[in-house]
Amino acid sequence: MTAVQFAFLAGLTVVSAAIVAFTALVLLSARRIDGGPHLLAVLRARLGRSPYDLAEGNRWAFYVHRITGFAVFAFLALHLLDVGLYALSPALFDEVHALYSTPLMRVFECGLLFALLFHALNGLRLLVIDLADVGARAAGRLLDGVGVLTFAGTAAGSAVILWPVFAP
Amino acid sequence: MPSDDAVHYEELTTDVAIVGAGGAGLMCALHCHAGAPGLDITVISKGAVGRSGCTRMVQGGYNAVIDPADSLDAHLVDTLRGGKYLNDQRLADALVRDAPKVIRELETTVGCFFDRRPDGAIKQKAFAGQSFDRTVHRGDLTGIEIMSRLRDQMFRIGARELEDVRALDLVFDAEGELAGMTCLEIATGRFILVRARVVVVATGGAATMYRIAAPAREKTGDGVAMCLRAGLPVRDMEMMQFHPTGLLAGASRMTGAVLEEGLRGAGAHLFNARGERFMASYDPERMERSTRDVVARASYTEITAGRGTEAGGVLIDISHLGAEAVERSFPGMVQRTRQIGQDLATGPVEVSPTAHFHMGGVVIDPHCRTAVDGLLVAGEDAGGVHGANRLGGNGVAESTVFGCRAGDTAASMAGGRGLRTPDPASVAASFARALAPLDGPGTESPFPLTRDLKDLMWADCGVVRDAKGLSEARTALAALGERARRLAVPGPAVFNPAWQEALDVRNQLIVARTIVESALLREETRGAHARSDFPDRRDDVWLRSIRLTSDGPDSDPRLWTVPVEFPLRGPDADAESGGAR
Amino acid sequence: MGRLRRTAAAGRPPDDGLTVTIQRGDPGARTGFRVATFTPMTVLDVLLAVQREHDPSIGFRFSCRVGMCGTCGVRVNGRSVLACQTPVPENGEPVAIAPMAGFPVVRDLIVDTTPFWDEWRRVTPYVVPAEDAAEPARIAPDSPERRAIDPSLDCVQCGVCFSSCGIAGGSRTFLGPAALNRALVLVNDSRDTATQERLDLVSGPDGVDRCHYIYGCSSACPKGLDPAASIRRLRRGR
Repeated sequence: MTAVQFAFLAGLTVVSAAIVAFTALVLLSARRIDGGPHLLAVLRARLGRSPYDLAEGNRWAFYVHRITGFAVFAFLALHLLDVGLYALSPALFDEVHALYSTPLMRVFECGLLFALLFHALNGLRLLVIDLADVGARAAGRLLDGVGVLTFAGTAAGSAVILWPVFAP
Repeated sequence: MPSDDAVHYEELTTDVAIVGAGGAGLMCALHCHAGAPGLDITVISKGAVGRSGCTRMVQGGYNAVIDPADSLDAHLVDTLRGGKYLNDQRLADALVRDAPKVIRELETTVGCFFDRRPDGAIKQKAFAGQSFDRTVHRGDLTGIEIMSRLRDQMFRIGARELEDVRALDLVFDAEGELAGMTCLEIATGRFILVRARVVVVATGGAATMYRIAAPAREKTGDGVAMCLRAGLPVRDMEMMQFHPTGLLAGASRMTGAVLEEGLRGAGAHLFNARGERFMASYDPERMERSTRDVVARASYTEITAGRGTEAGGVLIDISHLGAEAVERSFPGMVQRTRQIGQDLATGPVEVSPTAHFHMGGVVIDPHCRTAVDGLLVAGEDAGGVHGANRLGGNGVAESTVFGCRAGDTAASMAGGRGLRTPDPASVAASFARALAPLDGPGTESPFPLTRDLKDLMWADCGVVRDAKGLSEARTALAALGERARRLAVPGPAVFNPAWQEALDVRNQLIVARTIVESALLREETRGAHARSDFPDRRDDVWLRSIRLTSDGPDSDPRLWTVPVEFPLRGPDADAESGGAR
Repeated sequence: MGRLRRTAAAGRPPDDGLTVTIQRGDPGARTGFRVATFTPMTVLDVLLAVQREHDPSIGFRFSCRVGMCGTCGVRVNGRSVLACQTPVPENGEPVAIAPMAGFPVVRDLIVDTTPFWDEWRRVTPYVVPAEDAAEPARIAPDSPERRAIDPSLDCVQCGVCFSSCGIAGGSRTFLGPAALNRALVLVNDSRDTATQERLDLVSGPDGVDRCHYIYGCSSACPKGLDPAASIRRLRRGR
């Protein structure tokens, strides 16, 4: 491993740690502010349709939107640096970018794709809610759509990204 | 816990101390502030300011003469007839005269918004026992609008609020002049001595001492008990109103919650378990729109005669008006019944008479003054306005009207009364008495005691009474009083509901005793007081008000009667006497 | 009713019992209970049963028990509700009761709702009438003004929306759903004269823009109000 590759991986570790820490921060402060994330409650609400859990999906979307926003930002900060290397030295750039085709990085990229898709689509959803004033129930349905699109997009994208790993 | 003589307390000095933060208490604060803006006003509330108590729970509405076709005289006659002429007519007159003014004030300055007619004027709906549709309302949850807006006004006038603070005893100086009161802050367990120029007592009644009861938890007769302990005379204590349509929800705490009077006003029918509209044999003319005392007694008679439902109730049915109309006019009531698995909009709902309002209380004059200089009483704590039976819609009118009057009086009185120094011995004794049950040596838990009191009062001093039951109640109450001396509760002083319940039940016992003693004395049936051994109204003997006073918590009460005065209207002037059955 | 309760307390644990977990403040205080069920039974009934049959020292608050006082707010299985308006699950699922989130805990299930009232106070929650208003205003019930206001009345200031909002309970100030709902009512009230002050406040940094479309308020409101819609309408109307 070259020095610049090591530096990149160190940066990536910092970014990952920051994302994990931010996630923990969001979920812990949510616990104090509004009772926190209740994954089981969400599932129960979806299955049992209990009326006071109507907003659970939106609540999760709110957390995930924050977390994915931070994750994309943190990764982009690192990515700007490694792309910037090209201006310095195309050779260094190639060295770093060789890492991007390792299986581990490809998995990371899949996560990144999910974050990007969710954040963008949910952002559009919020735009619709704001402009059209559709109400809580429709907001929940739009979220279902965002979820489906995000997972479909992530699945398709992941297939492409991970193809070289599994391809003979 | 520290020993008795080492009770620590803080001292607070104010101009006007108001105990109770319901309709009467907050209206009083508002008027006191308006009358003398410089006064330091302290509102003391056992629960949350503006949210505990019963004005908040008012559903139906507020009686006031605002339609040109109506008249003050008609409202007065309705009130006196409803009260079976036991009312203090000067108080009833003050109520009727001030109600329109207060409604205007609530609308224009307090910011309430009552329902409107299509032409934009204030709408008035039908209530039972009234010659004119004069009940102003906001949907079927009128109290929320009135109390929320009054609570908001507190932010405007900036009165000091002692929330979660229980008033314990009135205290006097060495010459016997009112000096203030002792208090307990529930949230911290710390004692406070409030010194005040004027004290206003407006805590509400004591109907919670019945097994089936409508009021909020706080209503344990604290104000009346406090005044009784201070030696003030009370009147008409036997007059405990039972609302005919209390919800029956099994063992749930919701049992007893009222389904509003407007249902009967709008034409709801009452059936017994056999499907008979039984009001036909009790008041064929007015049927379900008869006054509360008559309907409650009729339902009770049906139930005890075995014609009630299995759960011990009768059925109220308004579904013939159409589900949609019912849901539109009574959304709160429909929701309330659906919560217990029934549906007012589509079928009959089981109801029972429920202890609701105490017409009796401290003797006051029309300016809310009492026998003690500097002490004012307003709202349900005061007696005399409603006589032997209160009309639906006159309750919130009373608390706000007399709250205003108490505020006006307090504002003019506070300047002329100096601050007195409370007698230290009685202050210490008051705190020691309150502290006694906390981790005390006794063995009695307050919860079974409350339950036994509720069962006793319901069985022996309830909708229909007789000498035998009342005598038994007298003996049983003495035994409960004995148990109350052995009350002990575990746990911290901070926010300890069990300790508070112990202090509540003590007050309830004091008031219960006055009810039983007065009920024994009144050998007739009048309004809410029904004696099966004296089933007739006896105007020749009993156009008299029963007064009661006691010298101390343990001494026997002293009773005497005072003839009712008729400065405005005599009972003979009334062809139809709304007779008691 | 007393009979039912007594048999249940004295007898063996009945089959239809309910397991309750209550978050307590005092270390070492008992948290697990099993109470007999009856129908209808609300979470408030559960708390009262625990208090009367198991642990009289348990701290909780209630007053009217019919959803009008708004003082019995607790968290049931994670979400804020009014205890008196919440039926216990019929399938015998265990119930976890905790103090409302977003507020400092005073003791056991009792919270200090001062943060809620601080925000409420900021919107000038009382009507500021014109000087010459002596008679009640004539306003038709089907006027646009009343159609805007009526669905937003009947708030009981229980703080459940505040506690279900992902923002209001946080450290940065946000007026919160109830106060904004109140602001909407007064902004539309033709009797009020402080409209501009309120609009300035709600469009300021602590106002409507801090709403993040979680709809926690509207789905939690025990009175069925829709504060989120009020916030949207304030946004559009300013």
